Amino acid sequence: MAFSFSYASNSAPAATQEKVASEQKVEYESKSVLQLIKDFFKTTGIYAILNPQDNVVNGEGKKVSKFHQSWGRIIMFIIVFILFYLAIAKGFEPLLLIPIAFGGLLANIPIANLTSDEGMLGIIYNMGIANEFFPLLIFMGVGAMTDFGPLLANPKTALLGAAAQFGIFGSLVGAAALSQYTDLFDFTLKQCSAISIIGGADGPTSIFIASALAPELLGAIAVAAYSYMALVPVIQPPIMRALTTKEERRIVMKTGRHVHKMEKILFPLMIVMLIALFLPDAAPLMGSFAFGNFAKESGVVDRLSNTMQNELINITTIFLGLGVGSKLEADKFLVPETLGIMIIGLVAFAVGTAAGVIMGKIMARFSKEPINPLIGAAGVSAVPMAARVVSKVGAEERPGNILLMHAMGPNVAGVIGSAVAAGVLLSIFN
Amino acid sequence: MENNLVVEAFKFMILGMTIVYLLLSLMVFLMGVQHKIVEKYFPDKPQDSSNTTPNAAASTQSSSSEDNAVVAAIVAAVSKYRKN
Repeated sequence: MAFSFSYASNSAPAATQEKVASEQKVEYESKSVLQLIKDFFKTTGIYAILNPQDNVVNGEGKKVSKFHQSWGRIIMFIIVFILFYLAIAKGFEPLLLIPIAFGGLLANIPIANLTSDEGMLGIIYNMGIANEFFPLLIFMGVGAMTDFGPLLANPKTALLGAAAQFGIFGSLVGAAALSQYTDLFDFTLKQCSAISIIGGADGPTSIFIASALAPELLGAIAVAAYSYMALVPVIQPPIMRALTTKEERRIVMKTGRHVHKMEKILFPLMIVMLIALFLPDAAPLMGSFAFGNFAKESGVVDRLSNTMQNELINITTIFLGLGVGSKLEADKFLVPETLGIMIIGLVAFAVGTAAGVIMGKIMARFSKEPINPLIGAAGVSAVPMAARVVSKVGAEERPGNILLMHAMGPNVAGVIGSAVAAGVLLSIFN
Repeated sequence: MENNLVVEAFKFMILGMTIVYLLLSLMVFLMGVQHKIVEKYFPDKPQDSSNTTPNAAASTQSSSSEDNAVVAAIVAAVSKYRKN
């Protein structure tokens, strides 16, 4: 008897939090077994999905419509399983799609409310995504993995990385036009900017900008960015072939010069100084990127650089994925805007690729050394996938023509380019 | 706040592309300067410290740059593997 009294008094404060539980705990009345089973059934997910309620709120305290409570969740489960399939069977960016999709799966569990501030996913989201921290840690690791050697050997190719950023700004105009002249979508300028950054083909940058400018669209933007990055081998080659002639694709490029170790050490410092002087708004992204790269190239802190390349980026990827997944709740993802984001993102990718190839053609015409315009397509970042695609398309026309290292130059310049573009967009709204 | 979104977006585009091009061009320029400085004050030591004599350095120059291309390709392959 004494035990049951103390149990009842302990549970009283907790009971105020959950209404369903309070009925059974605070004033426990004797119930028949049938009644107990009935009450339990009301706490199951089946009941919640079959009987959507009016006053259910999501993690942010907004009301969730009945559709999003019932069919919405089921559709999201299906979407999540498609993402699993793509990641496992098709190898689409599994490192991110698996955690993101699993986060989405957990986020759509009824009643558990994992995305609220006290819920597991909500805690992860607030810990590092709401404040834009996790993308920076990822950028640190990416910096530690990046070799700027090919870019330093042929600096001009950085201009290809700049041209490809037209994908971002071109689709920004497109998104604005869609919102202005059609009734389909109604994006604000901030939302347009956050969506168009998908054209930067850089996951962490997209997440960084989305959580700064349009957190409500984060889930869809992240999924679009990573899906399209995985689809680079499908999206890019037709555009590359359409814009170049057979002769252009057959061009063989000279092997790059030797790059002194000192140049590689100085490069990240130069980037930081450039950003410090001209675009402090890009400092978080470029600062952590340069730090990672500096740690690697300095050659004396391999322990730190290895940690950034492996443990740190892996742990962060887990949390980043789950946190982004928390935005895959039915009421946030199953909205017309998601479709718009998918379309604009695809256009951004295509335009970026096209701009890079066209810039490649221009450079090929005026350059003394032979330049294969295909490498321009690697200017959209998506390291190293885009560079591999370039090499593959080049080798199709002339077997043995390895463009990989030449494409890595614009490829890593594209990372810098999209971070700069991100900084410009942030500076506009700050 | 009744702005024409397209006009605004167009202005963003002009600003954005200008800044991206300017910064990356500046970067290209500085990379060139940096290369010259490094070349002048930190002349290339023979990469393989084993047994290259100064007069042999010139002849091994091309092969060492090939070595570096190989090393760079390996590095790229490893980072590619890690990313997967």
